[in-house]
Amino acid sequence: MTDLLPSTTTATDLAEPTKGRAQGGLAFVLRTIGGGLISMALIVVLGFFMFRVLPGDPVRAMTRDRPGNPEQLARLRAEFGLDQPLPQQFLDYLGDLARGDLGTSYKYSQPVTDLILGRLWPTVLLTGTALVISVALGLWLGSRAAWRHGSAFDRFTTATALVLWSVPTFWLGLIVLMVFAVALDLFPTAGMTSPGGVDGFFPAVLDVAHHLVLPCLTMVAVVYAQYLMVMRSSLLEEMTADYLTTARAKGLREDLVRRRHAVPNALLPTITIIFLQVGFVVSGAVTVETVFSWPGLGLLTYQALAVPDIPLLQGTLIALSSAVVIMNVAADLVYRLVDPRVRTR
Amino acid sequence: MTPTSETPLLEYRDLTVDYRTPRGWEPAVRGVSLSLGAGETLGIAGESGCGKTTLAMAALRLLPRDARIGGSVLVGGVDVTGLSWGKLRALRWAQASIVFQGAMHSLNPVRTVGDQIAEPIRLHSPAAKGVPQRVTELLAQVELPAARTNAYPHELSGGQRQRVMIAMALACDPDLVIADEPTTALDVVVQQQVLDRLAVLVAERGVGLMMISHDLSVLAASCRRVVVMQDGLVVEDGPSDQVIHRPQHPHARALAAAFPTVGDPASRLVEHAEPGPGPTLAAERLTVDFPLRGGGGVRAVDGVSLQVRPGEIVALVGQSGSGKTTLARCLLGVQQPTSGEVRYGDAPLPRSSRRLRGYRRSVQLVLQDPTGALNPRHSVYEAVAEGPRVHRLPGDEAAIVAAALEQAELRPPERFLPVLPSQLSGGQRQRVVIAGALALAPTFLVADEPVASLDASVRREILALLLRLRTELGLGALVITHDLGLAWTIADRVAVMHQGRIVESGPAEEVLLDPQHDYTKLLLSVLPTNVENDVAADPG
Amino acid sequence: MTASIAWERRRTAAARFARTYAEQRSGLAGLVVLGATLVVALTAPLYITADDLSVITATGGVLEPPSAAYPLGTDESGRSVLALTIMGSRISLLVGVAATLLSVVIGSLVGMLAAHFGGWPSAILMRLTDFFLVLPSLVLAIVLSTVLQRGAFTIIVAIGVTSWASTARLVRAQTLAIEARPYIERAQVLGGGHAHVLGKHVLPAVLPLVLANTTLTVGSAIISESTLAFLGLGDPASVSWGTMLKAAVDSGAITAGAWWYLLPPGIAIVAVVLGFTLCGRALEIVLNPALAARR
Repeated sequence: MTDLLPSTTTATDLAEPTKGRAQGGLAFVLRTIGGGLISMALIVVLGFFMFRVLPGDPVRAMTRDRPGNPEQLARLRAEFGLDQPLPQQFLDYLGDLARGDLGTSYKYSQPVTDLILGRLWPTVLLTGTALVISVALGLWLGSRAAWRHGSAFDRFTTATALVLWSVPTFWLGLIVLMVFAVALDLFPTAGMTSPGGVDGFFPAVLDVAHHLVLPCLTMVAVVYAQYLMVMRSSLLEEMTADYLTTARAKGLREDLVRRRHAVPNALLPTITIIFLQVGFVVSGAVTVETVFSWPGLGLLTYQALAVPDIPLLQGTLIALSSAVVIMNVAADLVYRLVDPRVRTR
Repeated sequence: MTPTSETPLLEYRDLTVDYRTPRGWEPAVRGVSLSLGAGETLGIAGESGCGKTTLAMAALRLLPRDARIGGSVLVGGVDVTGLSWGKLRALRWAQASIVFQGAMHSLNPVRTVGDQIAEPIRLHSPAAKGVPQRVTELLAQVELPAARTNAYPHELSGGQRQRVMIAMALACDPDLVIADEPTTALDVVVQQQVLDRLAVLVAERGVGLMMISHDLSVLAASCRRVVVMQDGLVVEDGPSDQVIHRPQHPHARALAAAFPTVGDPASRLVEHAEPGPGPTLAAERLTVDFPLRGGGGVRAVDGVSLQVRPGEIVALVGQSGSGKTTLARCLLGVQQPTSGEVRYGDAPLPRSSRRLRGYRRSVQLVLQDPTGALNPRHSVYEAVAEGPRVHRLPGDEAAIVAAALEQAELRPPERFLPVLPSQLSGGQRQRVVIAGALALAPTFLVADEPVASLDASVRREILALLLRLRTELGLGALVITHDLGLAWTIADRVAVMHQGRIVESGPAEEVLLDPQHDYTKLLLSVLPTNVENDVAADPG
Repeated sequence: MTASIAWERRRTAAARFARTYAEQRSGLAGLVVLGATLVVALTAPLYITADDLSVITATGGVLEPPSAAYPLGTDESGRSVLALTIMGSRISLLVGVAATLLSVVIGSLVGMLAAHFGGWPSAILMRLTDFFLVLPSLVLAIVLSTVLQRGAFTIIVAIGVTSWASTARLVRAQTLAIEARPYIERAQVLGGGHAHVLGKHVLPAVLPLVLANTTLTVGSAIISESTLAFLGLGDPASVSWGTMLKAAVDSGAITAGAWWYLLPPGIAIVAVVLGFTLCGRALEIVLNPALAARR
């Protein structure tokens, strides 16, 4: 689950492709968008083949727990178009996808597209909030820890980050749930809103915020630790740089040396990695939403795999992966505006 | 601003600096006393590790935390070793500034050069007005257009970056400028431009200059007084002319000899020899194009013909980017030419990798940086045995390796066999690389800047080895270099390469003493070895 | 003569390796945790019988708090949580290590080949790597383990084929760095082919890094395994820390406040993952002493 290794080498190596590549502006934009389109195409193909070509039979998987008679199976196969030859299935799939049709959920008997759109907002709210807090916390603590390298503060923050790193997100969620929601009864145990609803706009906002605290806390705890380690190691890497000696020779105070010279350089690779790791945050959302019954795409994925509801699972796979790819393309484009080493030349 | 003539700008009084290492305190500077007055120019020469950079850093107390300082360093009469941080910061750059070596790394990559030049001005005089104009002015003084203000360091060439460093050093009108290897890694022509600019600015403003370099000839051209350091001590001190031409200390003599003067018979080691029997290595109308990203291409080598006869040493001289290394890679069969061919004896170079392997036994490579050319995990034995193993040479492998080490003058061979490259000196490593080539009994060596990364005192030994191998084994060599002095020292013939073409070639004496082509003349004119003239021209 | 030189060198290298490693206190602590876990996991069948784990023959009550008879209490079927946690280490470690090996082998091959042979095959490999690097690997693993036959093998494959991308990136970067060194050019001029360069120079230089990377990846793989098991995708026939936590949640341990059922498997995961992480970081420092200054 932790894709990102707690390694100093990784920090720069993962950031390598966007750094120091000489290209014209338009060529770069086209290349980045082209790369994103290729990734999207790969997702589409993956979405198809994962469910049809792999040795498992989707219909058998769906009816695994219920003994179905042959007619039922045949009817299901016809419904999913699985009785068609493979190339025909692929064309149908592409055609449906182009029209925004991801099929009909087996469990909910609703269009998958509608289900996904309905669950999109809670996930954006949860991951967005958690991401903003984690980035702020991780970068701040990470840069302080690196600058006061070897101090008690550094050792404490690093040790905490390493432990949080090793914690499975769902288990942390369970413990948080048991302590703060069940035992202390400070926060609700499940959902995004109180049953029965609340009257008025501000009370409703407060109600959602109240529900948001625990899932958000759980995600932040696991995610910020990574950003802290990345920021810390990339700033430590910059700290031996020659231009810092130049800055000191000019007579700058230590905190100006850090703020004006070291941190801007360390920030750039860190930001790249944060965006590369968005997939990790999305993975975290699946488990956190499951634990706290937060009605987002992650919970939808869990509900789909429990049946298993193949069209729905395929839909969420495509939706979540596409979202991550789109965010990365956007990040690459923004990064180019921010880092002069990539922007010009 | 200028202190009274009695107060030196910079004075070291019995300075000692030690660094903490796992093995205890290692001395870097062991009691140096020097002083530099207003408008004076002082050069500090020495090989890597002699303590010269530590001396520069000590002037502004920029040494790392694990350094221990003894004695005192006075800047404008104030001892910086005892100064409070606030006063020290106020002194830094305003009274003394540093032109650091390696401007690529010493400039912040994500801030514009204008921003970085303006930074000390704003810092030391917060009320200053017209800072942008001042930056433009400073850039103009180092002959950079005002438009470069908004450039980032990576958008500039090496020479331009070094000028930015100089402009930055002058930003606060300091009394003293310390230049630490300001021209290392620059081409000779660019190096000359930067040195000239620095000399003019120093003279115009009457600031003191302390210049540090491993290259005595660079110091001779720009400093009136030169000291030579070895192992943290000053071993020679005097007017530059005297230090270059009549050095007293053996180490100073070795340094002076390492930068030969073109035309001086004493520096020419080569004896005339007739080409021996055997095949000739030749490039015929060789052209190499490199495709560029986004279409188009660059012609690195443009219709070059060149011959190396058996037992002959040919120097291929040119600046970086002249195509000399690409040409060498073609001769080695590592790079495929776009057109033309490489001939060895009567046959063109085979293209199939299997038959190339046979050719590689005959033509071997000696690289510039022996540290990089040896796998740090392989012992000397494995490094030398690599070639014989690849070619499955018959005979006793251990005997072949021992013989090769013997030829490369690593004696006794047994002592070196189990040693890792990290345990050897730079000169010994280069001998191991040469031994690795000799193990295949080649007829030619292609040596790419074979001594450029070595300390001055070792260079001559390696060159002498190449010449001895020529006499004893009849080994021919193509020596690629940017250094005309090196060509003068060992080459029978010299070919000058410029923008992918060979513009002049012939016997070394003819080309170097009576150059015909303008480019050769230019290269010779910027050699900072013509000591008397330069010192006389020094306006200080 | 030759063999003895190489052997002597390896012996001193190993001694130096052990000495540098021993200087890392946190790395030693990690090693101790992992060693203890391994011993417990390997010897478990000696003192835990099938009867202890059988739902039918279990003797304890439902969700009993810790007592002398059951030091960590009982689960919803009356089995000892301690016995379950000990047995769970076997599947968790097995899946974690096997999935990592799969992932590291794929990643190293892709990374080395992409770096060594440039051109369009390399471009395609890197495109694919970037794609897998960005994808939410857990979601992909969920889909894979849903579609395939349920079992430990499926989990191993699901984790292995979705988590190799960062290893590939790392190995590619390292291979490129090695191949830029002049000694590679020297080897080529000496007549060495692809096999010689890759086998004699690149692989030995990349392997230590891969080893450290592997150690760090095992931790992530164990977390992935427990997550998949928690989502109900584990092997129902065997006990792992993930399936225990799944069972705990399904049996209402949270509302019952049965902390003794929730804590032991979770703490076990944290301890083992932390152990692997600390070992991996210590290995990195041994291999690259320059890093020590930055830790």
